[in-house]
Amino acid sequence: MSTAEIISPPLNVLLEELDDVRVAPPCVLVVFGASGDLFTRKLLLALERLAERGALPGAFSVVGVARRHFDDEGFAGFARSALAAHSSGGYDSQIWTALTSGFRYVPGRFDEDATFRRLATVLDEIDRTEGTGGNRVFYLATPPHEFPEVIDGLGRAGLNEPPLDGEGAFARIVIEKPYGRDLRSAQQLDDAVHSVFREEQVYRIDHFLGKETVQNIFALRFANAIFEPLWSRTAVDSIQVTVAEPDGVGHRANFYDQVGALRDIVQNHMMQLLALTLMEPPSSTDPESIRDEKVKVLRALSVFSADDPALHVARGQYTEGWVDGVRVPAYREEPGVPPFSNTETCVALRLQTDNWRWAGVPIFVRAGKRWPKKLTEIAIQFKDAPDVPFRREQKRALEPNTLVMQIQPDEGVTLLYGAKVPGHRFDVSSVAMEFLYQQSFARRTQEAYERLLIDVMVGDATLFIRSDEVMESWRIITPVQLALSRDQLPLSFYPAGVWGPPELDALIERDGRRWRRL
Amino acid sequence: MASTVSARLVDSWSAEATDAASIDVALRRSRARHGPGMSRLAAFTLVVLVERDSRDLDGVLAMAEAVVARRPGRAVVFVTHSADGAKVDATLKGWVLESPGTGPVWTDSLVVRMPGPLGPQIDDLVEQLVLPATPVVVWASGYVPNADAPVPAAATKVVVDTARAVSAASLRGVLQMSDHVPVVDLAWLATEPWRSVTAHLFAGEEFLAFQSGVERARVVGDKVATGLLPAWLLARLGLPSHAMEILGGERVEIRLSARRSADHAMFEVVQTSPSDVGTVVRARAGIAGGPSNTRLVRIATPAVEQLLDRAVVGDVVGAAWRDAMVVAIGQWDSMLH
Repeated sequence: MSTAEIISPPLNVLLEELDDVRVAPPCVLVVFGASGDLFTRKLLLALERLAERGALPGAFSVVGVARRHFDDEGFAGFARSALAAHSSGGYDSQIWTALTSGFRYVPGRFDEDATFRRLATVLDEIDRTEGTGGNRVFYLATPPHEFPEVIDGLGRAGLNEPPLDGEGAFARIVIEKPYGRDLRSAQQLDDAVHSVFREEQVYRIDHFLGKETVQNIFALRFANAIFEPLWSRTAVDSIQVTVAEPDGVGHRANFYDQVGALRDIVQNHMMQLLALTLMEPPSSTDPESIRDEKVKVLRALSVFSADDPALHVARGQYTEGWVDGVRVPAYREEPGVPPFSNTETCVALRLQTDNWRWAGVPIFVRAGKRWPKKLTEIAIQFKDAPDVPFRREQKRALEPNTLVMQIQPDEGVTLLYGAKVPGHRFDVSSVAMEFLYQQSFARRTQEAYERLLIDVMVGDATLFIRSDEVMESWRIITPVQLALSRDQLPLSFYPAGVWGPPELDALIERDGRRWRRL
Repeated sequence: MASTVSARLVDSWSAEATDAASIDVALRRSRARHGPGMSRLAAFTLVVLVERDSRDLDGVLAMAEAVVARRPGRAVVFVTHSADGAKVDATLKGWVLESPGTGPVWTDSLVVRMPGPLGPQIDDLVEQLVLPATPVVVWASGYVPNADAPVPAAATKVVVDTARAVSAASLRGVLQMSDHVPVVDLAWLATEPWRSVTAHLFAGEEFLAFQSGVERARVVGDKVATGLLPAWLLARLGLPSHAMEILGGERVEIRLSARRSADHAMFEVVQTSPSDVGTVVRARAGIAGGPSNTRLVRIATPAVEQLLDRAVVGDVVGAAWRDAMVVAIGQWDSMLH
C-alpha cells in the first residue's frame, strides 16, 4: 500500500492532553440476563458511576434481554429500583434517571430466533436515532448453561458483526466466569464461541483483573529496576497467595455449591494473580504481548504430583462459628445448600513452576470463606541471608524478608526487613516499610467493573483472558478435579472464624514453611 | 477507594527570631515526641510563597494544611514581613493522619515569616526545610509570578493560577516561566471537566466528522470559564477570533455550530443548575435531520485546595495549554475579564 492510500480516521483534536483520552465510542450495551444478580448488583452500579463522572459516550444505550416481561419503561424502573437497593454510597438520581430513560428491553427466550430478530430491530432503531454507529457490546450475564444458546442466536441473527463498515465499527461479546466446569467443557464452550465470534471479539472477564492493585503488580515488577534481579529462584524462597473472605455463600448458594472454592477462586482469580506475578517481562504493553507472557508461565505451572494429591491439596468446609462477633451457621445449614454437601469452602494447593526462573520455588495458594478477615495478598518470601551473624536469641523477632502485594482491602505494598531494636543489646526485629495507595494517591480508584466496561468499549483486551489462558488454567487444576472425582481428597471441617482446618497448615508445614500470620 | 483519612493536630510550636536550623530541630523533636511507631510516608513538600502583607494568610495556610491532611508530606508557607530587624519567626504544627486499617502517619505544616525580599534567601531556607528526596511543589499564592519571580532551585513544579492575571503581560510572564520551570495552572485544571465534556460531544465518526467544520462558538460563564476555555477552543479548532462570542453569566454554556457540506450540527454543553459541590450539565450533540443524543454529567466545582491537591500529583502543562495561552494573550482585549 502506498503512503497516499493510507487514510487515517480524523482525530478528535479537543481530546489532546485531557486526562481521560480513553473516551468510549458510541455504542449499545446489550445485556443478556438483565433481570439477574450480576446486572443488578454489579453492572448497574458501574454504569451509574461511569455516567456520573461523564465516562460514558453521549450516544449510548443499554438494551436488556431476558425472559422476564417488561416494556422499556418497566425495565428502566426496574433498573432504578435495583440501583436504589444495591447502592451503598448514594448516587445522583437526576443523572441516573436521565441515563435509564434511554434503556430499552427485549423480552424473550434465548432459544427463539424471534428474540434476536426483535433485538436487531431495536439496535437498528437506536443507531438511527442516537448515532451509536452500529457498535455493540453483548454482555452475557446469564447462567453459564445459557451461554451457547445466546451465542448461537446472535450468530443466526447476524449480530456477530457490526451492521456498518465504518472505521472501527465493532461487535464484541463479554463472557463472565465460570468459563466451563473443567477443561473439556471449557473447550466445548470455546468451540461454540469461535463458531460465531473471532477471538479478538471475545472479552472473557475476570473482575479481579480490573482492580488497580492487580495492575500494580505489573507496575511494581516492570517499572522498578530494584525488584526484578531478586524475582527468581536465586533469591525467592517461596510464594504465598491468599484470598480470604469472612462472608459465607450468601445468595450464591446454588451456584457456589456446584463450583466450590477451587473453581470459584483458584481456577480464575488466583491463576491470574500468579500469572502476573511469575510472568517474564513482555516486549511491549500491547494486550497480546502481555497475554503471550501470561500463557507461557501458566504452561509451566502445575500442581506438584498426581501420585498422592492429598500431600499437595487440602480442602475444608466451615461449620458453625463466630465471625465478627456474630454467630453464623454451618455451610450445610446455609439456605440453598444441600444438607450433605461435600463442596469445599476453603482450599489450599502447593504448585510448582517448571521454568528456569522459578524451578524449585514452591507456590502455596489458599482461599476460603468464613475466614477471620477479608484479605487478598501475594507474598514473595525471600531466602534467608547466607550468614546471619546474630545469636538465636538476638534474632527471635526476625521474620524472612517478604514483599507483600496487598490486593485488598488495604491496597499497597509492604516490605518486611530486619532492623536493630534500639537499646544496649543487638537484637534484630522485622519492621515493615509500607506503601499504601490510600495515602499516596488521593484519587478515587475505579471499581473493577467500571474499568472493564470502558475497556471493552474502547477495545482494550489487556485485562481480559484469552482463550489459551483459560485452557491453561483449567489444565493446571485438572489433576485436582480428577482426585476429587476419585474421592482422593478428604474434606476437613473448620469452625467459621478461623483460617481453615489444620490440614491446610499441615500442607505447608510438610515443606518446612508456614502460612503468613495475617 | 474512598478517602477516609482524618487529620489530628498533636503538636504546635512557635518561635521568634529563630533560624532554619532551630526550626528543623523543633520539627524532629516534635515528631520524636509524638510519633513513636508512626510511619513517615512523605509524598512531597508543598512550598507556599505568599506576597508581603497578604490579608489572607490564614486562608492560604488552611488550604496548604488541607493538602497535607489528605496525603502525608510537609507544607511550608513563606511570608515576608516588614517588621524591623533581620529575624525569622516560625510556627509549626504536627499532625497525625489516621485512616481505618492503617497505622498513624506523621505530617506537618510550617509558617515561616521572614524579613526582607524573598528572592535572595529563598533557596537557603527551602533547602533546609524541605523533606529529602521528595518532590518540591511551589505554589505562588495570591499572585501571578512573572518570568523573573523567585523560584526555589529545588522546585520540581510551580503552581500558578492564571485566572488571577490582570493583563496580557502577566499571562506572558507565566508562559515564559513555563519555558524553564514545569508549571501547573490551577485555572487550566478548573476548566478540565468542561473541556472533557465538550471533547466527548464529538465521540463517534458521525459527530467527529463535523469537528473540522465548526464555524461559530459561544462561551458564557464566569471568569474561570471565559478565560482559558474559549482560548482553548479557538486554538484547538483553529477558529478565527471573530468566530467566538464570549459573554458573562452565572451559568456556563458552550455552544458550537458546525457545517459539513449541506448538513448542520449543533454541540452544546449547558449548565442546568448551580451547586456548591458540583453542577449538572446537559451535553447534547445533534445533527439536523439525523441522530442526536443528550446526556447529563455532574461536573465538580472543586475548591482551591482540591485543585491544589490535584496540582501536587498531576501533570504539568503541555502544548494544549501553551497554545491556549498564546491565543489568550493575543486576544486579551477581546476576552472577558
